[in-house]
Amino acid sequence: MKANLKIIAIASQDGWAFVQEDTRIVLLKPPYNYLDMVHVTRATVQKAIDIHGFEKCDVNKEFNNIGEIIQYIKRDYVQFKKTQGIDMPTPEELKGLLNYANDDVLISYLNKARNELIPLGKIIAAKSIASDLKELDRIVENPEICRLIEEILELCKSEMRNFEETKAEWTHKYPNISGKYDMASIICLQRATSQRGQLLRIVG
Amino acid sequence: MNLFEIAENNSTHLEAQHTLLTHDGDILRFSSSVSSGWTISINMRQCALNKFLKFGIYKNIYNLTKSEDELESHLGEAYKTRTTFDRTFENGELFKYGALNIGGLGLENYGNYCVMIKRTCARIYSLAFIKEHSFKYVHNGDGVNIRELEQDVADGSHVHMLAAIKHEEDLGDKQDIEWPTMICCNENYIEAITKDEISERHVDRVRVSQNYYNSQYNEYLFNYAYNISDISDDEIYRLGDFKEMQDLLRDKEIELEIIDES
Repeated sequence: MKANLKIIAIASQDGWAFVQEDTRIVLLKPPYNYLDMVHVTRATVQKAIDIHGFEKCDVNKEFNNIGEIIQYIKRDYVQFKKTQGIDMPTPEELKGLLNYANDDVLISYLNKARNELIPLGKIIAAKSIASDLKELDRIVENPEICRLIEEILELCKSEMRNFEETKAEWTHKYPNISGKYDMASIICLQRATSQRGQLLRIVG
Repeated sequence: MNLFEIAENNSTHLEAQHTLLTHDGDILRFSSSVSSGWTISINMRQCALNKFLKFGIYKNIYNLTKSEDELESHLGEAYKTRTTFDRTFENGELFKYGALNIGGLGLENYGNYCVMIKRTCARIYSLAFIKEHSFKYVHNGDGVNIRELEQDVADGSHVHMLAAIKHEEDLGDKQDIEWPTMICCNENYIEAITKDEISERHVDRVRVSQNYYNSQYNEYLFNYAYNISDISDDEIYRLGDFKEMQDLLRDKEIELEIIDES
C-alpha cells in the first residue's frame, strides 16, 4: 500500500524538512540517521515557519517512503548550492578540517587505519592518514596519538616491503595472473585464504 | 509602549510570587542556579550560523527583508502575528529572539548549533524574558494582551524568579542535571527578547551534539578525504559548510563545544 507521505515545510539551504506521514509529523535533518528523526507537533512546524526560517512547502508530490523524501531533500539542497554558484570542495581542501578535530576523532582515524585499512591492503590510504596527522602541530601534546602514528607508519613500511617482495615473486612465478589482476587484491585474497586455514578435510 | 520597562515593572510582582515558593529547598536551589548561570542562546542551522559569523552581526527578519511585501511573503501566515507583537512596542523592529539558557543544546528542532552569548554581554543587554512564546499573547492577530503579558515577563535581574514560578511543578521529578533541558528544550522555553545589537564578539561558544560532529568527521570526511568510499554531493557540500564554520570560529576565537547527550 502506498504511504501517504508529503513534505509540509522545508529549509532548502540546510536540507531540513518536516514531513507528514498520515497523522504523524517527522523532522528530517542531516545526517538523516534514524535516531535524528524526531516526531513533532503541528505547533512545532508552525513555529519553524513563523520564526525559524522554514518555508511552507507547496510541492504537490507524494512519496512512497522516507528514503525517497531524503533523496528529494538532498537534491534540493545540492540544487540550492549550485544556484548560489558554490563549487564542491575538494578532498584536499576538506583535509583542513583535521586541524580542528578533537583527539577522539584523530584516534578513531588512526584506529581505522590500523585495524581496517591495513588488513584490507589499503596501505596508501593508511599511510596518508598517519602522515597528515603527523603534520598537525598539536599532536605532540598527546603521546597516544604520536605512538599510533609511528606504529602505523612502521606497519605501512613493512607492508609495502612485503608487497614489493610478493609482487616480485608473483611476477616471476605467475606472470599471467599478476599481469591481469590488481596486486593488492591478490595479496588480500592470499592473506584471507591463509588466515582461514585448511579448507578441505584431509582424508587418510 | 516599552517592553523592557514592562519587564522591569513586573519585578515586585515576581518577588511576591517567588517568596511564596521559597519554603521549598529545591526551588531555592533551582532559583539560585538560574540566577548565577543564566545567559541567552539562539539556535541556528549551518547556513544562518555561517552568515552570522561572516557578517558579524545577527540580523532579524526586518534587517533581512527590503520591503513590507518581502517581509509579508517571508513570514507568510505569521506576518500579522509577528508584526502585531513587534510593532506594539517601541523599537519592536529591532527585536531579536533567543531563549533563556543555563546549559544544553537548546531548541534543536530549529537549529543544531546552539549559539551561547557570553554571560557578561547578556547581562548588559536590555532584555525581556517571556514565560511562553510571544505569539501566545497576540489574540486573533488583533493585538497584544498586555494585561496577560505583564504578569509573565521579567528583566535579567528577575528571570530566575520567572523560571522558578514557571517550573515549580516540574521540579519534583527532576534531577539537578536535568534542569538545563527542562528550561530550554524543543517543547518548552522562556523566550528572551533584546533590542540590542548581537555581535559575534558577544558569542561565548557554539554547542553542537557529538552525534552530528562525529558524523561529519567519521562518516563523511574520513571516506571522502582518503578516497575510502564515495559520499554523495550533499555530504561534500555539507563538509564544506562545516569547514567554513570552523575556519570562522577559529578566526574569531570562539570555541565549538561538543556535547555528549548520551
